[in-house]
Amino acid sequence: MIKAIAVGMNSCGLAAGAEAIYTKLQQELKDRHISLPLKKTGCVGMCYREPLVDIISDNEIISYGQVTPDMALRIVTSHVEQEQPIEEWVVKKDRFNNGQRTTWDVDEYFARQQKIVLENSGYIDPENIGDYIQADGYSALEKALQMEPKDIIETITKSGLRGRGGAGFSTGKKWQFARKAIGGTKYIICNGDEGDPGAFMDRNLLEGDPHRVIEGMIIGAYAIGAEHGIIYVRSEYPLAIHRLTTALQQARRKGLLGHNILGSSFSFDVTIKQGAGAFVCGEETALIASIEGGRGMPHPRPPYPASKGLLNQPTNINNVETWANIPWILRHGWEAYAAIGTEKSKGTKIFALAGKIKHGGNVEVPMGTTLQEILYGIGGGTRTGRSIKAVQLGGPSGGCIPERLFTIPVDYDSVTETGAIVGSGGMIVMDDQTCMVDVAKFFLTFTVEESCGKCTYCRLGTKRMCELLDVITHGNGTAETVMELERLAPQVSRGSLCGLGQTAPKPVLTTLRYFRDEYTAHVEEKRCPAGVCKPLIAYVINEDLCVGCGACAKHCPVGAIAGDKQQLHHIDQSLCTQCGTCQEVCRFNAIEITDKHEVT
Amino acid sequence: MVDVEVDGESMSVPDDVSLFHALRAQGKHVPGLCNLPELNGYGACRLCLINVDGKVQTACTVHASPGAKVETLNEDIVAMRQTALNLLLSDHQGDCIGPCQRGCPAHSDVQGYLALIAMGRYHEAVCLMKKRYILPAVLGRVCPAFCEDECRRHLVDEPVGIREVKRFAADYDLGHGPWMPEIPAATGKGVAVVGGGPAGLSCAYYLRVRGHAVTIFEAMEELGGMMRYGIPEYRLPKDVLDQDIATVIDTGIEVRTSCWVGKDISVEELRETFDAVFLGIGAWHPKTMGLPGENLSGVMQGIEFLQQVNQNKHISLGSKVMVVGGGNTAIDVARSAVRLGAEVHVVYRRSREEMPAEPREIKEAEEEGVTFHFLTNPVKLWGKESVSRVELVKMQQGEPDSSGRPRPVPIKNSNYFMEADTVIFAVGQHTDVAGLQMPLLADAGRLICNDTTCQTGLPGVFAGGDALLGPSTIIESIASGRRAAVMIDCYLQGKLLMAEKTLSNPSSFIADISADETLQQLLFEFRPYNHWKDLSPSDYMHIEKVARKKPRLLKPEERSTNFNEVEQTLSEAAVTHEAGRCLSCGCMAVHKCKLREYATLYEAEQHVFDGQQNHMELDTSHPYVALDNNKCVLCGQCVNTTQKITLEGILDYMSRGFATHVAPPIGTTLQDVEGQFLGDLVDVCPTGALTDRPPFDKPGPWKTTATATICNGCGLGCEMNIEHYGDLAIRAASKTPSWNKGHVCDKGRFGRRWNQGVNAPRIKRQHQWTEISWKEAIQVLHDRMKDMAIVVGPDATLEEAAHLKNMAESYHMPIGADAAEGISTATLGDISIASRIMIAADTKKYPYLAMLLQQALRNGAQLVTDNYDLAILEAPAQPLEVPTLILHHGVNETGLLHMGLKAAPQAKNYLVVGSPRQRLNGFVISLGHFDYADMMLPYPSWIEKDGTVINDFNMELSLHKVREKAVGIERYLWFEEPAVTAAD
Repeated sequence: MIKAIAVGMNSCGLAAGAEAIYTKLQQELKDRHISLPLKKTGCVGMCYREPLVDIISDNEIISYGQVTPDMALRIVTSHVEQEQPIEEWVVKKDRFNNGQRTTWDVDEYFARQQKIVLENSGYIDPENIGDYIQADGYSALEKALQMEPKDIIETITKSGLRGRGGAGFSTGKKWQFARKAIGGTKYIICNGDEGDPGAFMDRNLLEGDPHRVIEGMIIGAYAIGAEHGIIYVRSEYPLAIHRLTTALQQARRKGLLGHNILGSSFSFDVTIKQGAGAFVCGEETALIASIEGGRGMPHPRPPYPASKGLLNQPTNINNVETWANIPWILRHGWEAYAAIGTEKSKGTKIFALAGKIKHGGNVEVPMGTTLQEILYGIGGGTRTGRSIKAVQLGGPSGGCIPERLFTIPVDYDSVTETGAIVGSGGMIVMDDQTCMVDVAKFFLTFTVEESCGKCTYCRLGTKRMCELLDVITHGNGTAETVMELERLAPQVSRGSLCGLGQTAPKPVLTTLRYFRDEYTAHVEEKRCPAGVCKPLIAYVINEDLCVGCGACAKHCPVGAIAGDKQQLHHIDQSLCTQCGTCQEVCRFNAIEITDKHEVT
Repeated sequence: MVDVEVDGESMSVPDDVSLFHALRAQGKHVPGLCNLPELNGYGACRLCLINVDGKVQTACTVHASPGAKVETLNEDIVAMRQTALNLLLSDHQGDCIGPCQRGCPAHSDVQGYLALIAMGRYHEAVCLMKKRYILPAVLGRVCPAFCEDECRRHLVDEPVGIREVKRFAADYDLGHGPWMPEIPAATGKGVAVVGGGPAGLSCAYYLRVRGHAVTIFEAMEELGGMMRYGIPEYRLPKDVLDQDIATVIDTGIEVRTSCWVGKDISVEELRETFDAVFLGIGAWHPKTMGLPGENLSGVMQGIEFLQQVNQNKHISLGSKVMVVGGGNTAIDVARSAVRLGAEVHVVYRRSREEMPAEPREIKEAEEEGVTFHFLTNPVKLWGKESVSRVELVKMQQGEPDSSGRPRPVPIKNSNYFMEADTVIFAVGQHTDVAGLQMPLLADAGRLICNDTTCQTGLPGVFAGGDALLGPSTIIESIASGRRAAVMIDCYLQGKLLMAEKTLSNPSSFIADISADETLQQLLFEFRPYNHWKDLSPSDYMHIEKVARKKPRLLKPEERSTNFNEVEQTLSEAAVTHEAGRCLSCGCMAVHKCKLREYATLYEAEQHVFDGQQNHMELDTSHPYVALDNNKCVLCGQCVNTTQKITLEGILDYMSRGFATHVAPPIGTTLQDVEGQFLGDLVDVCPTGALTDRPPFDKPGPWKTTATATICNGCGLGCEMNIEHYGDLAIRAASKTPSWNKGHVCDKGRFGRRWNQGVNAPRIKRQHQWTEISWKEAIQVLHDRMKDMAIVVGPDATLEEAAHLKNMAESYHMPIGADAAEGISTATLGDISIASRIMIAADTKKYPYLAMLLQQALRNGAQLVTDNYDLAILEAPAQPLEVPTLILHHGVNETGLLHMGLKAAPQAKNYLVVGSPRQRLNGFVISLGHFDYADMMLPYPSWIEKDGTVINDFNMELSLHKVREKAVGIERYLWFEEPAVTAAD
């Protein structure tokens, strides 16, 4: 029997039109006098299938993907009213046996995933604490309050949980430092300043299951001895902020925050600090400076935040995902957690698949899963069907891993060996139409703009590196340019003050390591093998394919294309700006990219 | 303290300070631009990178740990620091030194001396010139002024007339008792200088000012070389030359004229007798063209001719003279021959444009009737015994030759004849090395020397001037002689090899250079880092065009019959005007710029990373401070100072990434900011991004000396430095260490009360101050001695007060002080430990105290009205039961109170000393400036005094005079016989 209908209403769903679907369903249910609860849930991870509509029965959830208002109407008339699921639209089915959930989906997207942190995401209403509690929420807190703080820290240490923000430092050890630090007031901070291009793990989690993060923080605060917690989240995440605010209010009302939590002697509360969106504020010391009201600029460590952090008091900072792991570990025990993953990287990790991947969304897999499995098994390869050339791991602070290394297990140490980093979990997939020099320039441009400006190597070093890349992509580089880049890049890495500058050269260094031939083609042959770098390419019309329809000429913004009706058209290379419009509008695939020097 | 290994050496260093300070304390070179002593390491500039246990880290942010292995200068570290510097320089725009200085072969500080001349400080200007060259009066007449070729003013209108301006200053200096250098204690080393021309004189002078004994050996009867025997008197009068040379010789140089080295004495003998030998023997050997008929009588060599003219020897030229050549010598010969009554033709094988002679010389020669024959060359001289005519050939311009000029090619069958009674060849000279009778190598008439050290193949024998350079200008010879002197000095110190390394590859010898002041000076003098802005006329659109003042020349008819000086000196007004045309291109901070210092040491370069540059507007809105973000390296010292120490928040970072810069709050400029410590930010700036704007018409980037003294702005008596250039007090600056941690408020700093003095007696008549003679003034003083009381003002030192007390006793005069009652019982330390502070004073008047209180409040202290543990009151007041700080307006009021000097007694007449503030009822004679006085007598300014004061914290503090005072009447009052009859 159908119990409820739910619409995935995270940012991904909303962007895909979930609001309209929700309104439509609401209207239809009302018009048809169907009194079924219409719920809002978070994101189940299949961002690429949004908007998703779930029809929830006792033992089953049937999910429809890419739902349009018309489809919504039929879902109501057919599935809800007549209990006849529309099988061709079903993208996912969950079955429950004794509370155990098994998921099938049309893409085998979930088959290889293991949900710990995301276990509730997409299934509960993030704005309803009852949903969370029903899903065993806050039971870990109850359990924790019965424990000695040192035992909690031991549990976390033994679980092998490592910081999910990127650096992968042992969470238990970090807590231990903060616990031992001498100071008046201790603080804990949840770092939600997710800023990598193409990363949305934290956003989805905060939007889909905010209580889990809050519960993790309360447990952490109890273990460390902190009275104040701060969630630092960028103001570009209004929905996350809204849901967090709601969750905090609900938790306070339930006595889960504030004085004497759940009747214990432990008091703790959490406030939200909205960041203005500087990437560097993800760095601990810059984040603290920002919370203190100063300019988000890092300062050298030591002193570490654990001894002198916020307002010079001992402070523990963990990433959103790290906090979200805590309740599960306490509920299931460290042994269960440590059983997942590899020897040195325990548990699961969320990855945000983006770029040219077919199945773009959040996936959660055990540490040690290979890239092959993540990108092809779960991600389904590229949207275009072209081969994957590389994946950028860890955002601008990470590196490009080539396809031939996709057999490596994704754990902290193996990934670091490739020159990239696990980072916070962003994976940007590139196919063979991606120029790796251009990719390096793209990420470096990001860091150049996001540098706080404090230290020489970062402010000026990344800028000069970017300019060298620009010289190369413009075809003005020589072997000396590449050498200069190779000289400067490691110096910027070693010479910069904080992680931002230290990791900024990674995209350059890894592309140089794995795709040197592309650099060589740019500087020696003045050619962009992927056909991306505009100054090095030319658009030409294939005379066999051109039918003389005139679409290209009509759309060319600079009037560079001419040709008589039904006759072969020509591109005047002296006028062409390589905007690519002709290629987009040509229905006969007659516009091709060739090397610039081929036509001049 | 922990034991660590630094660069392979075991040492014990403290672990409570960063390695940056610990290593520096050990004498290690650790560069850094962003470190503030009052704060923890900031880590912005990345120059203090060191290797600790295999990892590159900033020294300012790590502390020593036991057993740590530290490397401070390995190849990797040097490369990393160099890259950081290259990066900083890639977005650092400005001129380090003016282009004029670059143009000068001696690299003299042209901008600096022009500024001094603009202010009428001619002796100081000459002093500055003589840091780099001697004989300014000579150069003021005959220098080709390479500086003017580079002058940026040509982008506006015409270059500044630097040579003429210099000439005026040099003549003034000679005419008013020339500036002479101080000669340090004898080093015990002696150097023989062979040749008394510009190179030899220069080498001798610069060795002498380093304390060496110098003997010049001159083959001719008199010193001067080419200046005396080669340049005709109408360009360079002999008396000017004599006076200029005297300023060199009078430093204590021994001279042996008519002594030909190689004939009268051998170089070998000199090597045995002296510790080093300099060969400045010039290039006196004329080149010949090897033409048929050259040995006919009536054929002369230019240099011989000029020598005879300059020795007033009789020369018979006949009526028609042909001069062959196109250099300055040819022109000198031609113009001299005109003056001897001949008709003169100059024959030159190239065109006018290619003539090496100065255009103004050519023009003046033409005005005097010299005829030029360009693209013409002699091929044969005809005559029986004596030359009578010359066969010439016409030339045409061919392909460019090695000099870049078109090669002159004879035109076939174009030969023709010209009559001539005398033919004088002036086609070049070279050095006669053989005459020295020594195994010295030469090439093309020049001695072969080490390019860097000027040492010949013989150890201890150096060379310079034309002998090394070939025929060159006086300034080039002087520069070369000076360089040789510096090298000889290094040689005498046993540092010549190190000097060579220092100048050829400094970044490989940083440790050695940092540990040796001689090498540092050498490096910064001969190979400093400099860069220049790339500018075009459009950058100077806002500059008003002002015509250059030209010197008056004697009219051609006035000059062609005699050897009187042709060019006249500019008037003082014209000189001031001309110096004022200088655009002051060079950076005001060039002498203190740490970026330049490190760039020099690390051989950093601006164009390693050519790329985008930030172009920012200058903020010159503030009367005393200017902000130029184009020079900012974002070290953050100003931001950290104002945000974290002075707590005024005047400046902060703006924008992000590459565009980050420093600015006052959004929407404001420096003139809008409210703060009392803007000047402190100038002091912490390691470059010229924040600079003072001294209240001068044309402040120069002078290399100042710092003298420590006490601020006389209020009773706190902050320690400060006065940076001065000679007698000229440029600015007040931070002094560290000091009790006030280097902070000096803007009031004390820019108010310049410390610079107020009275130079001449003045009396008030009808409310107007009128200058009177000393005699008159003393008379008034004498007349008023009856019923006179002495009032000691708060600017009087303890020593002055003691003298005044003695004097009062001798004369039975009552004495009192202008000092508000109340002596503090609180110390400086009491402020930092106080938790509850009561204030009954206007602390705004005591900015440094206000800063201390702000810091105390930030650290948890409270302002209260009762139950306080520290009281702050303003005098007059009595200490309370808790530690009490009593504030005074005057710097030494507390000191005077300690001496028992209290309220002023009643009298009809008063003699007041030391800047009182209180009005007195009676006839007031003031030593120094006092608005309420009836007569003011000369009195030194605050920075012309030595002495002691006691501040409001009861600290005894010393002030040191920056300069000698002009003799003031106070000498007659108490430092000598207590009699007031002495007059001027």
